[in-house]
Amino acid sequence: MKEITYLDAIHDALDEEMAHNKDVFLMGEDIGNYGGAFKATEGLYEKYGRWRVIDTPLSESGFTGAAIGASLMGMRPVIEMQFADFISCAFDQIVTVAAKNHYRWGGRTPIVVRTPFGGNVHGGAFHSQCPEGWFLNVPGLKIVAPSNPYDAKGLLKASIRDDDPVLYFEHKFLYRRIKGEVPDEDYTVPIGKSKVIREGNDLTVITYSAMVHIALEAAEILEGEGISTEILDLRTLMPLDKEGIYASVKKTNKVIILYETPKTGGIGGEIAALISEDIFDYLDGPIIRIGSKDTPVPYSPHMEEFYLPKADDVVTAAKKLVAY
Amino acid sequence: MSLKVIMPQMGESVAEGTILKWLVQEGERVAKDQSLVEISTDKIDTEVPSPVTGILQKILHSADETVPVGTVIAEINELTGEVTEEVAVEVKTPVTQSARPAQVTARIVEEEGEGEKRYSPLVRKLAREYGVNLQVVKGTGAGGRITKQDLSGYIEGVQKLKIPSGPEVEEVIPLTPIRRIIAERMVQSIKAAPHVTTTFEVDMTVIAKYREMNKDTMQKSQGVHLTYLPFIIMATASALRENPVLNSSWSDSGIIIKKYINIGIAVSLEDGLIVPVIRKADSMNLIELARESQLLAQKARDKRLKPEDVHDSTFTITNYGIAGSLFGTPIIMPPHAAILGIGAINKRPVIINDAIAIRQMAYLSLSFDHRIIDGAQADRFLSKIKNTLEEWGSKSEKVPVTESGFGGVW
Repeated sequence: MKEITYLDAIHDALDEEMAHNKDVFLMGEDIGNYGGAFKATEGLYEKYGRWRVIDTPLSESGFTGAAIGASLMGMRPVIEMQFADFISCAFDQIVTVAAKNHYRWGGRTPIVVRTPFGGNVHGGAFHSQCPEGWFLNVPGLKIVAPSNPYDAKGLLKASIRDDDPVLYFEHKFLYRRIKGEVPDEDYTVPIGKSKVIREGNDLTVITYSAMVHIALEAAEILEGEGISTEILDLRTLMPLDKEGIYASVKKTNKVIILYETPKTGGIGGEIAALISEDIFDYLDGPIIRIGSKDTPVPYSPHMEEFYLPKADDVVTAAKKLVAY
Repeated sequence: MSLKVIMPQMGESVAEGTILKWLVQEGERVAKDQSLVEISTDKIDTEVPSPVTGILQKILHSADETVPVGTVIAEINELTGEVTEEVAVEVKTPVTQSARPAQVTARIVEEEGEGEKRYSPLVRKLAREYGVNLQVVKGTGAGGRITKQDLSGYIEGVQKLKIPSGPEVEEVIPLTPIRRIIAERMVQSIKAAPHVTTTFEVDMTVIAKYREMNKDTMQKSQGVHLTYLPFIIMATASALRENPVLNSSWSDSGIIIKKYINIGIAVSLEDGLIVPVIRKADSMNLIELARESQLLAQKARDKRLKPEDVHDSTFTITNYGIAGSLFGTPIIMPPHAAILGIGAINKRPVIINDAIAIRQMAYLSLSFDHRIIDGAQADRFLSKIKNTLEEWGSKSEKVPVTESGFGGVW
């Protein structure tokens, strides 16, 4: 076991999968000689050459389409949106082509779309968004969003080996801030499985990616006040791990769903509806959603801080919910 | 194809069922209509047949679990001959049965009944399971709401009170669904209906002789064991026809007189009591009544009763005399207006024309709902039954015995 950063985990997963399978290749903007805007692909161009680490023109739609075509011919392309915000340029290729090939004519489309996403990095309205919610309404896609190096590496490897198109949401804020132990040997993290990363009895916080760390911070504060918080890291957003969600809610009976996308229309509404449809009788209080404000992501650091969910928001909501 | 097996709806008002026993284990093959699982609801215990032939892939709720109607309790992988792996994974046959609107109505009524107070779904579920009256639980949540902790604290407290001396000297037998429903019904009945019991002594000598004379023939030609019960059912059905007010239900908008006579027969089971029903009892002859009552009792003991076997009775007969009881004061089964209890039939000295004779005597007791029925009506009804039984064979009840068995139209 060695301790590495979240960014290293992504880099290592790419490196190992490329070494392991010659069908795996990378495409994206500045990912070659430059090593990627965030250096996720650093050194891979030198190691695997220009035919397996391909710098593309500034056309997300173009290289996504090229990746889909290559995947249909048996390759396993991993493409990088330089910022997740730019995925909207490739929207049609992803939702109309990649997501529907298998349904329409049985063709498998094993592409991975890596998307550095999320705020708290002072990137402004065009470089801080969380677009995962846009894709939750598109059957045919898989969506993962790890919160730590172990899951980041294991989920990326699982995504590359998966025969369906996978959107891999990697959080920019976590890249160099979060470190963790990762096994030396080959492993994957199964797509579709959530994980309880902190056990508790009084309430469950269901969350994923960077917000997991906000939840952990809140749980520490709450523990000091005698409130025991369970944290469920979703890890995969589609398909949702209903079993995992229901098990935790049945245990604590009170739920907060915490996510970084704007509150309206986010994954929180979907999870809340599932809980109330399937296990209503286990609820001992209202289901609470905590999301970002319903505005574009502000550029000003103070405004951005106001915009994003904070540990304090979770603590306040949790106390209210536990007292309910 | 993977097919979901759901907890079936076993009657209008049934909201949940308890799994008693899986008759097929995971991984085993099951044939269409083969019994898959034994379930118990507040109405009946029964076996659920498999909807298809296939492999029982997954048991989702194990024995002793109680789940709402409509819950998926198992998955069967249907064997169709040409199942490919992909189909098995991706095609799920939709289950068409869904919860009835009746349950929703019941729930709304319950909420209104609780006035201003609101309870979380979990609190209401626990209160239901443990039979707690939420009005007496103190709430510490926001605005005095009862939280999960308040309720589990209360339940623990009550349980401690109930078992002060520990498990060495006392034992708590968990309530089975049937026990719980009997308790609910009996309390409901005794609270709502002012009970009065009236008792007549009936001379069964004629019936006893008649029975003695015919039972072997009947057994031989019809395969039916002739007991006293069908005679009493027959007499009761005819008395109900003459006194329709006994065949009724109380409602706030008026007394509902039922034009059909469906007589429920109380059958005692090892762990409770169930009342299968003989439909249109007034249109059946003695042999039919004997056969039907025997069949239903057997089905009840074998736990093979279907929902329709226990629904829609309009009057009850309970035969505690079998166990030796002389007379009782039975509790009316809601929503009936009355119940007839049959005491033991014994030889007793009786005075007839100032001489002492030995006769087969029985006490018949009728408990009735005094909101609907007055004493005189009840006694008129009971004396009609008495007369029919004592004068059996003197009128149209005569059954000619022929070579081929029993004939005659009743």
